[in-house]
Amino acid sequence: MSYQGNQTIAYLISSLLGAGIYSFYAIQQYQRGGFASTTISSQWGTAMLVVIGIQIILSIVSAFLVTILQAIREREEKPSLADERDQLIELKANKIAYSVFGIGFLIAMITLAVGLRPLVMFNMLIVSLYTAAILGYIVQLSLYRRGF
Amino acid sequence: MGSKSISNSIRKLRFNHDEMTQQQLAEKAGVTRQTIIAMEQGKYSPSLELAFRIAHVFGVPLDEVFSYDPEIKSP
Repeated sequence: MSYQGNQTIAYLISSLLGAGIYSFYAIQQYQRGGFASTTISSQWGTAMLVVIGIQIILSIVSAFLVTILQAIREREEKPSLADERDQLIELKANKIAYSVFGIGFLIAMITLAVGLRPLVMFNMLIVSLYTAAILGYIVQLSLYRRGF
Repeated sequence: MGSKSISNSIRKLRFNHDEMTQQQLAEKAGVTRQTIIAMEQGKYSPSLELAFRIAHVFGVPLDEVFSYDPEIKSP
């Protein structure tokens, strides 16, 4: 597979890991009754920042690994430019990701409007953020492999 | 799949130009090798500008590189 394809897989995996870590934290909080609170404590913000930090590190490491593996296995260097096809694929993937996040944001606001706890809205935003990112990478990967 | 109504002779032209490699063509046209591969496989139809750049690399008119068949409908 191409450098771009492998890079997209690496970002997809790091997003899935980030979503997994956050889900693990959220489920633990739910079991401890953390969702019963009517306010969002700073603990949630801290947890999210930690997850984002871990994900950034994972993305950097995976990008580094892909570059090395691609050079060893395929003897292909990292492309020095993003050409029109790369940009078009990114645009199409971003369009899907923004649409998904937009729908998620709308649902999050509806949960708040119907009187559900702010934590539900907060978690809905996080879920839609990760769903959008993951779907965006899947679309990107599919366009690289299938063509358009 | 991309617009199959547009086909190209890039592979043949490369062969006729001293067996130019995909990488060499990519560098001359200012794109990545993956884009040349995708075009040769009919998975990507380039922009008009890139199509002209490729024709310029081979020193032939555009219609010698790309051809359009209106009978085949793009999905």
